[in-house]
Amino acid sequence: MKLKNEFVIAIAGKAGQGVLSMGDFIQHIVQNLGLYSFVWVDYPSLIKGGHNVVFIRISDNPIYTPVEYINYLIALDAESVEIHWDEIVNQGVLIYDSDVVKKAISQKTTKDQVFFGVGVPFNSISRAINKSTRYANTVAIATLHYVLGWELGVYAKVLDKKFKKKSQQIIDDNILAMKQGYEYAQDNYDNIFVHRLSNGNAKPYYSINGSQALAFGAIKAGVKFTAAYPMTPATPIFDHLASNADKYGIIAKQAEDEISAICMTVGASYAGARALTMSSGGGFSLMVEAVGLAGITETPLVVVNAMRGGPSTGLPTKTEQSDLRFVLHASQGEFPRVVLAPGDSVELYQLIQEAFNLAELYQLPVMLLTDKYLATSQMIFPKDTDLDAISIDRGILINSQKELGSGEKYARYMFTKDGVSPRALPGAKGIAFHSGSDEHNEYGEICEDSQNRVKMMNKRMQKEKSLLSLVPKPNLYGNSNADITLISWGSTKWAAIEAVEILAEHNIIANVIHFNYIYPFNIPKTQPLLNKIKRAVVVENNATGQFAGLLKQYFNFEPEHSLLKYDGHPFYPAEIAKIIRNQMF
Amino acid sequence: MKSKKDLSQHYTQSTPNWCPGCGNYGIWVALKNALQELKLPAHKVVLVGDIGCSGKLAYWTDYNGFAGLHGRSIPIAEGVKMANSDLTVIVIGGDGGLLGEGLQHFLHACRRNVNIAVILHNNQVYGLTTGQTSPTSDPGYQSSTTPEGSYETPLNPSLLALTAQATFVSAGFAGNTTHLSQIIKSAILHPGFALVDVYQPCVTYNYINTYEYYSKRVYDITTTPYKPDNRFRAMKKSMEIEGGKKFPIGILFQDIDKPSLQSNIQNRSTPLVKQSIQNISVKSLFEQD
Repeated sequence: MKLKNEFVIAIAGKAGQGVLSMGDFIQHIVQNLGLYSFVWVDYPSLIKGGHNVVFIRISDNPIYTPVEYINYLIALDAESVEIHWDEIVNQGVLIYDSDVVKKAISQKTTKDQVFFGVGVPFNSISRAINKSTRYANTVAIATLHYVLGWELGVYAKVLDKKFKKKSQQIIDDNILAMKQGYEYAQDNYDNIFVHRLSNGNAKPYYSINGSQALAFGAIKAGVKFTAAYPMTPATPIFDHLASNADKYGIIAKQAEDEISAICMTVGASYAGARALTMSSGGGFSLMVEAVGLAGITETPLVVVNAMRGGPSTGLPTKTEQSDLRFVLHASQGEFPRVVLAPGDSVELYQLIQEAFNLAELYQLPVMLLTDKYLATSQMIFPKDTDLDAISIDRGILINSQKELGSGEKYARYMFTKDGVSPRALPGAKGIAFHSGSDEHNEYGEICEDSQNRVKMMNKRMQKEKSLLSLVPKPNLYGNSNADITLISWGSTKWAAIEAVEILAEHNIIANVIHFNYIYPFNIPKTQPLLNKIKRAVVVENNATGQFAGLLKQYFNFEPEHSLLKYDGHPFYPAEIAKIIRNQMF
Repeated sequence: MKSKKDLSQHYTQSTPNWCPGCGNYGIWVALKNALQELKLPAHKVVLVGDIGCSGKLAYWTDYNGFAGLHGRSIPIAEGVKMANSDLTVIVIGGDGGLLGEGLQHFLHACRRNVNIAVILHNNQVYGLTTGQTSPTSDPGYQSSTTPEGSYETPLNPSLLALTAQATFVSAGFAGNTTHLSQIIKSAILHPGFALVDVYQPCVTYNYINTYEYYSKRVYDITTTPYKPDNRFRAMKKSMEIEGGKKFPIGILFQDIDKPSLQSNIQNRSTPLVKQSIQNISVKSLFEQD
């Protein structure tokens, strides 16, 4: 395995052993060293004891996607050694706690591989300092420093910053554990260095996960109300809104169930607050009736579905893109809707803002798809990103009877050319109006008249056509004249883009067309892009090729290959490249 | 008091299509009288209707009306109220929607003490779907879905609300609109969750719980020494209906000291809809560790 001047550190152990916070420490160190990082996690659905892994991919080039190998593994328990043994690549290093992994592993050599073991008694060193295993993880990170040839200075600074609020004693003990761990490794393992990466020149970036990107974007968009019921992996979005609710004047309400959550959201939005609800597929299943309510009452609604492996309880903590068709068709009857699927942190931040604009401009439900992989992965968010790029557009609002002609009765569902009726909010002075889930006339009164029905259906569906002026074509990455085109949507974006780089090393010219506006398609703008494709591969995290099917339905386009993955994990660039090389050449 | 002419404007041009003699008319009149007497401008009131005969009332006044989903009127109303606490928000629903499909919302709204008034049109039957058994139907009630009679014990709405920590629990009778109107007024003014359980005859499908049946059995608790200040006593009082002999109407329980959800939230924010959402800075969120 060629290392391309980049590597992956994995920290594995039992849930509750501090695997995630170690990942956080190492990410901070990496960032302080001027290197790029991408952090992803793999964990089971339980609270304590199960196997947890955090992966930190490090590079001096921007990276946005996981890979399937490990260069440096920190194993906090014996099980971690067994599970990840085969993922460690040639020249890799296993750093383990010699207190718990009794059988020493100094070096392992196979036919074409060699890797080294560095055993340090994490727990004993910690106990000698404070009679507990509290600093075992610090010893482990110090050992990693020795193995990588990193100076301890940056780590010491990060420790100081992290524990400043706790106590000087904790900082001192950590520093001592750090030094002793480093010295132990130094004394017992000379000549181990296999990978020395000098400090990098990464352009300044924030390292945030997809849930943060969505929450920050929603706050930027002026979200004032959110309600949700806990469900992995959607809950962290709500948590980030709740923890900032006081500062930004938001009400974040945990509801008794998802039905209540979405109905509260519809109510708040009808009243005029920008409102958001979120769940995973299971919770969204409960929400669907209210999506139709937003549809017929023309209430702006933004729903995030953070997908996980389904059906039913499925794989609660694993990733999948299998709810696309579901959100496209959710709820009985026909009504206009928008489906978005951002591909990375910046897209998450921006498209949630576009979601609020589209929802209000066209008074309809907008569903934004993300997944466990995007929600939990800590991605690069360049610091020079314009945080104010998306401006708020709430559409036409009628604020009082005065704005209407004198004596004119406000028609909430007035027939218009673009299907959008000027919207009043309850409380608008002098205006009282009716809205409801029954089919209605322009004034919102129940109306079962056939002619009115057809006109009202056409008015609503017209909005799906009108909003196309705001739907861009998909994004093209790479050579516009490629031999192979990878079509990705949502979270498969960067795995596809990086696969193109790998293919280039094998003299295959490929490019990527990435869709993040999923529905409705802007067919006139998209068709020319598809027409230029020589050989297409659709890359998606589901078993049935849901997006490929849409391309057939809306564009009569059939890709040569559908690359599907539904094992709970995201795509890795190398596996995409390998399948293309093996199956298409 | 507004003049009679003003009052008439609340009898909207869109006419109710309830059956002649339906108990909903009495509740409709009582509610409009209450709103009129409270001098609430139409644009500041939102009636959130459930689905069924009762919920249609939301379309049939000149106040704001939002008819939602069967069973879900309470969370919709909670969302409206949380977003704009300046609005008076009233839920109109039946025993099917509020105690069947949406029972969980009913109970959680009680303990949440959200400042809405819930008018429960309790006719002990599913009317609009042609007379099926409801969560409050009497034992033995026969319908298309229970041809041998219902085997289930009816729910007691007031008792449920009291055990779920509601701060205003009351009952009224659709055949006594003057009294009902006063109860609805008190419910609207109550600073928290308020339930008005209304005994409502269904003249088409329920031949047992009729106007005559209730007229003989309801009594105004203010004519007795009862005081609505004790939850335990209120529970006992609410259980009087269980024998089917006596139906106390009036305020069974009220606690104005418990802070409403709204007052908790207002400690830190003006009504959400009145906050500017332009130029919000999120840079500090990115900078935090």
